[in-house]
Order: sequence, then structure tokens, then C-alpha cells
Amino acid sequence: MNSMARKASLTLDVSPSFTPLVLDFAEKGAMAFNMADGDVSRVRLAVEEVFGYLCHTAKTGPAVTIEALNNLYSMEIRFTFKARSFDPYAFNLTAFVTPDDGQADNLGLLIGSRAVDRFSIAHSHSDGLVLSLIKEKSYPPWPEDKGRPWISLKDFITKKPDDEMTKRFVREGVRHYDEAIFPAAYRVPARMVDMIAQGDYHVLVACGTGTEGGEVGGGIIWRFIGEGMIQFYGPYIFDQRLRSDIAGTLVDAFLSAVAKTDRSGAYAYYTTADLPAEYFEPLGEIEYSLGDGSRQTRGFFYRQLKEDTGSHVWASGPLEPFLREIYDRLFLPRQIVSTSFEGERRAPHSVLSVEFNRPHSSATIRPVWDGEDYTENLAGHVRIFEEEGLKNIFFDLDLGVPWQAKLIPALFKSGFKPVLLLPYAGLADVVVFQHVR
Amino acid sequence: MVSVPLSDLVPDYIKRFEAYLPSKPDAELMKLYGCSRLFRLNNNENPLGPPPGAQEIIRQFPPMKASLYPSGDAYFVRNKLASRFGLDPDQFLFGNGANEVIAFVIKAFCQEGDNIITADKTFSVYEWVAEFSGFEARLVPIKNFGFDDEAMLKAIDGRTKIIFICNPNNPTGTYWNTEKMTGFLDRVAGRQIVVIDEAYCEFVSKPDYPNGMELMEEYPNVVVFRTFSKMYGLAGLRIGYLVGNREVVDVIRRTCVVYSVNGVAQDAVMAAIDDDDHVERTRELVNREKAYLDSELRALGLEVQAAEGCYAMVRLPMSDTLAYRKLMSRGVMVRSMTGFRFPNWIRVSIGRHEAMEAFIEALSAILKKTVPAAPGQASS
Repeated sequence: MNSMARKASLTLDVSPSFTPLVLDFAEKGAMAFNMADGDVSRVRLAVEEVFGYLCHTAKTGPAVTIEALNNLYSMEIRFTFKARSFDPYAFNLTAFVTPDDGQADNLGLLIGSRAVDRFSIAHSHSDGLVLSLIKEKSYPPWPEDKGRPWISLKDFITKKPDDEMTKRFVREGVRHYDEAIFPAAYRVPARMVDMIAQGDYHVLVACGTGTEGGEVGGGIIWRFIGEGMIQFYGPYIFDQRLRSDIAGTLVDAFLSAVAKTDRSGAYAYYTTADLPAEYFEPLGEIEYSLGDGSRQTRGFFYRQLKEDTGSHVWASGPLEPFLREIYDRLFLPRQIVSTSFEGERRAPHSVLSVEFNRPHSSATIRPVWDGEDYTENLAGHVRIFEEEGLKNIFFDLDLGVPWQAKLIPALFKSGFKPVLLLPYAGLADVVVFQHVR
Repeated sequence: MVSVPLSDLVPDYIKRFEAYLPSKPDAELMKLYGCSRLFRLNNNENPLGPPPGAQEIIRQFPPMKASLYPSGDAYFVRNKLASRFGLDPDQFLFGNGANEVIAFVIKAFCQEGDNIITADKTFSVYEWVAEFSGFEARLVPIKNFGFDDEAMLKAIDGRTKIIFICNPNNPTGTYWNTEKMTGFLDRVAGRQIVVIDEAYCEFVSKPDYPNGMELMEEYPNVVVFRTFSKMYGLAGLRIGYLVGNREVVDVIRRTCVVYSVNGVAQDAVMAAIDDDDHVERTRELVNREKAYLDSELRALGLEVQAAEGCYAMVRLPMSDTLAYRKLMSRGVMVRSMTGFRFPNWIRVSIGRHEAMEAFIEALSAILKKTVPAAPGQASS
């Protein structure tokens, strides 16, 4: 089902006269990447809104590069342009929303984000502004195995699965675990095959030996995130007799596989009762609100892959007790350097980037630039997310960036509280704040 | 400002490669971890330091000599070693530590598309140098903590140029005896260069331990690595060497960077080479303290892998990187082994008794404080 076409790009001036060309590009690209009909329309709609918004906000004569990327299991439309061609403030979701009544003159970005599964605005020094729209591909229904409920292997080995073994692993995962443990995004066998082929995800399975070579007794999934971390899922175990052996061997093999990468640590994002305790350190818990109104608490377990040679972090008043507790508990050698605003000049407008994950009903805010209006801007973002019905709002703060540390008091005042610390997840440790009111 | 087009300039194999970041200096680490003293048990350094004669040379080194280039090819040292081992001085090549001679060999024999073979859980520098030079490093899983000869032979193909055997292996301490080594060399049949890294050979006193230099006569494809960093306590001066068949070494010499070994190192080595008493005293200390360590660790209920060499491995019921941090906060620095693909193991260098006691005391304390976790819940 996968097309071999992987990438198309278009560079043009930001001008309404090019709108038909841009829409054709998006639509034909989506079709070439084998997106389903409905998804083609959604991609077209999203691109129309975003390009229209760019035309509306651009200064004279800027160029934009639009790329259509076939990620095998999803399609991405990526707009890249130089920030200086626009008022950076325009790339706040709140830019054209009147604070008083929430009405908008132009909600292009927001509408664009609604049509896709994931949406992000990121600012990179080398590329400029990168606005990304990701639409997941649809997969046909797949037949469930009618096998026995538990597998019982005589012996097992761990290995990277081929495509068929991957599909078998996913089917067993779906049979043994609900979505709270084996997440929805991984429950389609062919999709997992594509996710691995794309290089975005990695899997190790424990499979039988000899005549049992086709049986899967368990598996573990991981992916690289950001600059320094690995997020893993599992270990998923389908063999009751060998379960602790399989779990330990899978975790050991996983850690050996990533030990010499550039990553400093790995943490469990979705885990199971079979996670071998002795390999990990508890980072903390996050309580998520689910779509049906229920709540789910998930623990985050972590381990470093390298010896910690220590670092300094920037922080300000209200966060320091949280940091000291975590650093003492985890024996992380850190020098906390306090900072705060002391009357220095600030730019008038702040910029916040966002990342929507609509299937998880969540949005993550990251600060891009500081500005006098930071507190109002943050409140505006929270209001928009709540109006969008998003139930989980997070704010990632990089303690390696001094000016971000100065934003901490305003975060607390805006109803955020620190829930998790991810060591070395940014330039230094990253604190995840959650909006709690 | 002009931006450098790094994505165009940098080869793909460099883009993929992860730079090794060494530890911060002791003083920095002590400050960060809040400890007032630090026992370094992470780098397999000799707790006795250099032999007394070498110490005296270092003390007396004339400052004005620092302005002169040293012998570019360690002339006197090569002659002295040749005399000691009954070989030709031109069979020796020196490097700024044995790490540098690894690069000499790989550069001399590998070209695009070639590969090297070694074990997955061994000294990492063979793998690193191959990978960041653009060559494939085929890593054969070890078996029972030792190099797997059969699997290594199976991994050889027409593009295999070099096979690296760490004997005894760092970090597991296992070794191939003479029978296994010669059996392996017979089956390689001279088609590849076989490097026998004997960085820790002076710590082995087993009668069946093979001497690579003696094998070179029958197997001219053998190249032996040795170092003055371990037994001779000169790690800080960075001096190591390779020795091999004259024709093979003549090829490697083409990629050898001359003048890379400093004058103090060469002078110190001249005084160290014949100090057999130092070797004996170091062996006694290592054997005694390794036995103590082994006994104490087993009493704590821990799995220990302590064979040859001046180190021992211990499997912990906790993350090795967490144990590293906790031990550091108590003034003991060990090597966490996740980077060697041994998650939850640490390697401890054998030190003086005071250091071994400090390590056992610190480890016992952190193990007592480790909260037993319920299934699926991590310990703290």
C-alpha cells in the first residue's frame, strides 16, 4: 500500500495568487502518497488555511518552501520560511484572537490545526520558522488472530522483527493489553510495520526458537525524541511462564541497543507491570484526563545511559523546592543558578510554540521568545486550548535557557504546576508543567 | 556571518557517530557531587603509580628539554623493547597511547566497503575508530563473558580486513588460551590481520595464556598491542605501541603519526621496562585486593565477574548509572557499564585496600537504602 514517492517541495512567494497552485500541490501530493479520499480533503483544507494565514500576515515579498513528506504511516506538510519576513507575534495561536471575547479576525492556524492530527510551530536558528501539519494515514481493517490467550515458549531469543513478526507482535499486544497500556497508535499491525520502516520507531521482540520460531512471547518499542532522550513502551509480555525472564531480557537488549547512541537517557512512556524495577528510577507521575472524562495516572520511569558529569540549571524562586527534591532523590549533580527579571528591557511580544496531539487530547506549549505580554499570551493559549476541548495542557521549560527560567513565576500564577523533570531532555533538564485549573 | 554548510561537508558516517565525552576533571566532579575526597576506580589505573625509576625520571626531567622535539619514532625505546623481547626494533611502532595505534592499523588496511570484526562487549575504541573512519564494525556477541571464536569466524567475509581480540578482555577479564588462540589463527589462515590487544597482559600469570609476540613468527598476520598505561602506571603520559611482522609493520608505518609520543614518556618508559619488581608488587596488590573485593561482593549477594586484569565487574540490583551517581556522592568513582552494553553492571578498578574498603562501604550503604520495588515499580 505504500507509495515509493517520498517527498515533493515547492518554493514560492507568499502571495494569494499562488493559492490554487499550493492547493493543487497539497492535494496531488496527498494522493501520490496514497492518503484516503477524506484525508486528502483534510490536508487540502489545512494547507489552504495556513497559506491564507501566511498571505494575510506576511510583509512584502517573502518566500516560503512547502514540502510534502511521505512518512509511510503519515503525511507531513511542512512550511519553512524566514521569521524576519513576518511579525513573529503572528505565529502565536493567540495572535488574532481578541482577549475579551475570544473572537478571531483570522483563525487560520487554528482551523488548519483542526484538520490534521498533529500540528506544531517550531523556531530553528538555521531554518527559520517551521510550521508542520501531520495527518495520519488510514489503514484497512485487519484480521485478528484466533489463537490461544497465552503463549508458552520453551525458550526464546530477542531480535529485531521482520515485517510479519512485527504484525504478529502487534496482534498479540492488542489481544493482551488495552489502550491505556498498548496505545492506540500502535494497535494497527501494518501501521507499525510502516513506522519501523520509516525509522521513527524501533522494536525488539522475544520469539521462540526452532519450531516455535514464529511465536512472539513479548516485545518492546522505542523511539528517539528531541535531542537527547529515548521514549520506550513496554515491555509487553505474552508468555506467562517466562514473563519475568522475557521482560528482563528485552529491557537488557533494548538498553544494549541504545547504549552507544547519542542519547543520554530513556524513559518509559507506556509501561507494564512487567517492567523490571531494578533497571529504572521513578521520575514522577502525570494524571491525564481522558476523552470519556475519566482520569489516568501514569508513572514515568527513567534511566540514564551515560555517567552524569553534572551541569548547572537556571531556575527561579517557586520552582527551586521542586528541583531540590528531585535532584536529591535522583542524586543528580546540579548547580541551581537563580535568576529573575530585575527591570531589564523586554520585547513587547512573546512567542509561544505549540504542539497539538489531538488523539491524546493534549497540547504542549514551549516558549520561543520572551516578551512583556508573556502572561497574557500564555493565558490566551490556555483559553484557546480549553475552547478546543483539549483536556491536557502542558508547558515544557528548558532549564538550560536562562530567560526561560525567568518565566517560572508567571507559569505558577497562570495555574501551571511542575509535574515531571526530564534530565537532559533539552539544553539541560526540562521541567514539564501541567495546567491544573 | 557566513554559515558553514555542515550538512554538505560532513560525511554521513560522521553525522551518525556519537562523540565520546570524557569525564569532567576530578575537582569539578567533586564539587558537583559534594564529596571531599575521591577514589578513582574507573580507569584501571595502577594504584602504585609508575615504577620508582620512572618516577625519578619524571621528577628530574630537565625543563629545558621540553623545548626540544622528542625522538620521532621512540628510537631508544624501540631498541630497548626489541632487546628485551628478542625482536627487531623496526617491528615496533609507538603511539600516543595504544588508542592511537588502533587508528594506525585501521587506516593502513581498510578502504571504503571494508569491515572489521570484534566483540560487542569489549574495549570500545576498535569500534569507534572503524565507525568514524567510515568502515563497518561487525560486533559479535560475546558468549559466557568471552570472545566467541566460532561466531567471529562466521562473521568474516571478503571485505573483512582486521579482527580485534582483546586478550584478556576488558571488561570481562576472560582470555583465549594458547590452544584457542592458535586454533583461531589457523582457521583465519592469514587472510586477515588479527590484532591481539594485550593491554592487560602483565596482570595475567596463567600458564596457558598466550604471548602474542611469540605467535607472530608462526602467524605473520598477528599484530600485538601493548601499553604503558596499565601495569607501568604511565597513563597520564600516553604511550603505547604495536608490534608485528616486519612487512606488516612497514605498511602500518605509512599511517603512523610520528613525534606523537612526548619526551618525558619515552624517558620514563626507558626506566620502567626492566622493573620486574614493580610488576610483581602490582600483581600481588591486584590479586590480594581482587580476592577481597570478590569475597565482599559475593557476601552482599551480588554476581561478580572477576577474572584476569586489574578490574572486576559487578551486577547490581539497580541502574548502574544511578549507582554511579550515588557512589560519586560518597566519593567513589567507578565505571558504569551501560556504555559497554552491560546494563546494571559496574566495573571497579582494583585499588589499594583503603579504596576497596571505601567502595564496599559505599556500595553496601546504597544497596541498603535501595527500596525493594513491587513489580513494575522502579526502585529508588
